[in-house]
Amino acid sequence: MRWLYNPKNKRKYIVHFFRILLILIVIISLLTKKNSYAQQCFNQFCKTEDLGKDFDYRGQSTFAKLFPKDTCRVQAILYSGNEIRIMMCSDPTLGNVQFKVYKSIREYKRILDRIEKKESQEPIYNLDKKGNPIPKLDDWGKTVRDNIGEIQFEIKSYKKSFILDTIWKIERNTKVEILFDSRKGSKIFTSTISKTEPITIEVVVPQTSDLILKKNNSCVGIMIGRIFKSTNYKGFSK
Amino acid sequence: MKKIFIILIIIPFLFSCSNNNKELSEEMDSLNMSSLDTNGVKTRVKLPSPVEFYLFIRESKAQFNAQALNTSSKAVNYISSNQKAINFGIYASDLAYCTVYEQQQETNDYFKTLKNLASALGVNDGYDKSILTRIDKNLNNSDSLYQITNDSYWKVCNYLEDNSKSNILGPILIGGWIESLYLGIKAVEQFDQNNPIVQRITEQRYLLDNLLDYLSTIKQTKDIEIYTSKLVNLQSSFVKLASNPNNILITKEQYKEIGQKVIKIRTEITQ
Repeated sequence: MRWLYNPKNKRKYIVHFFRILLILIVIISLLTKKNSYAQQCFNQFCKTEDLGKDFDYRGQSTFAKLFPKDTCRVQAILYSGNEIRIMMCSDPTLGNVQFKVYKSIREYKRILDRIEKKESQEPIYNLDKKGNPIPKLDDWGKTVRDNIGEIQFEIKSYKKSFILDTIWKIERNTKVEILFDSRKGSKIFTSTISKTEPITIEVVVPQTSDLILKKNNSCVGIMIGRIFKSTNYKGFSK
Repeated sequence: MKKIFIILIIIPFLFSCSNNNKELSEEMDSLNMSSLDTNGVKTRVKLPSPVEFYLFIRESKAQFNAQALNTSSKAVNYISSNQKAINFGIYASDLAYCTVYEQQQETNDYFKTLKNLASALGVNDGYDKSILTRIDKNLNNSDSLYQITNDSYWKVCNYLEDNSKSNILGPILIGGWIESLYLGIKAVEQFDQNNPIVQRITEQRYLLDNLLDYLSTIKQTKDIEIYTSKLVNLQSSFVKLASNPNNILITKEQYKEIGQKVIKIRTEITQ
């Protein structure tokens, strides 16, 4: 150990120190290097023919490592105008993994939180002979509009007033309606979405009596694919 | 003696690494399955990527609006990691918009900006040098550019989700979503409840719900709390639509209220 503290060997000490540092960096980087779940699981157990040609799975597909008896849910949004394909790919060692697709029907209730009194400035507009506000014109004589396309009017002055600002809390209740259940035979859910919908996908991994498999988690991929086809927008209905 | 000394130094490091690894993987398990935990069932919350929204607005014949985008030169002004992350989301959304509208030069510029921000945030998945080279090679091929940028956003979100980096993913999702809504509002020249873009804007309440659900599952930093409260305020305006009579999807006043709140949030993020 003497070489460590001997000032004559200072250079040797520095060289050794950096060697050790380098070895440590290599070891640490090797130990901490790991692939993400998505990298490990993406597409791993999906059959190419099931994925279907032209479907884009980037966006809301997700991956997890699940144990036997686990249940997991995915909340997603399906935009109207898309043809969609939802499927689940899992490691065969997990057994017969099932999935269901639910349509989420959300109901909202506004609950009064508090009322705040705020000072506000109300504009008083210049009026024309008929008593209508005069539109504001830019240097080119064009009507000025605001950020959201509203016509702006010439302002004469402002009137101070107080407004009561009501602050609401939102309570959401979600009812579900089943759209698909893989226990009924099919393993792929396909649909053309005419109305934008929030959905929930539920994946259930079966139990196992095998003591080794019980402790093993493995990949489950929930694939949400779409083909954009919006040339005939059906519109929103409540 | 030297060898013994080296081994003595390395052993504690080895142990500390393996312990950290264990902790990390346990943490990853719980976060990966993240967290709206109802009755032991873990829930993951997803949002469609901004690309889907932009494909729709392009389909609805809205013109490309370069002036509405957040200029890439402003990226140097974002100092804190939260500012960087949330504006990463804004720029990623702008990039998607440029790609959908086949604006090659803007695509290249925004990709470079995103690469720098990604590097500053320690996220290189999806925005590394090789991708930039692919972008350069495909500048005249809109279809490839679309695939590359779509891939990059997808990879970065997955990387952050899988590595429990919700402190970065949360702001990115907020930025990406608010920018798409902002550009959607900018694409509407005049209010008409039958305008398909206005209709798609009203549907954003579902995405907002999911976004807020996701934010409620992650670590509540001060920044996340501030943005959550702004988004809840915006949600209160969307909720009003549910009380409209059947033949009215959204009134002009309701649209204006939503529009003004979105513009305010977006301005606060990008200023």
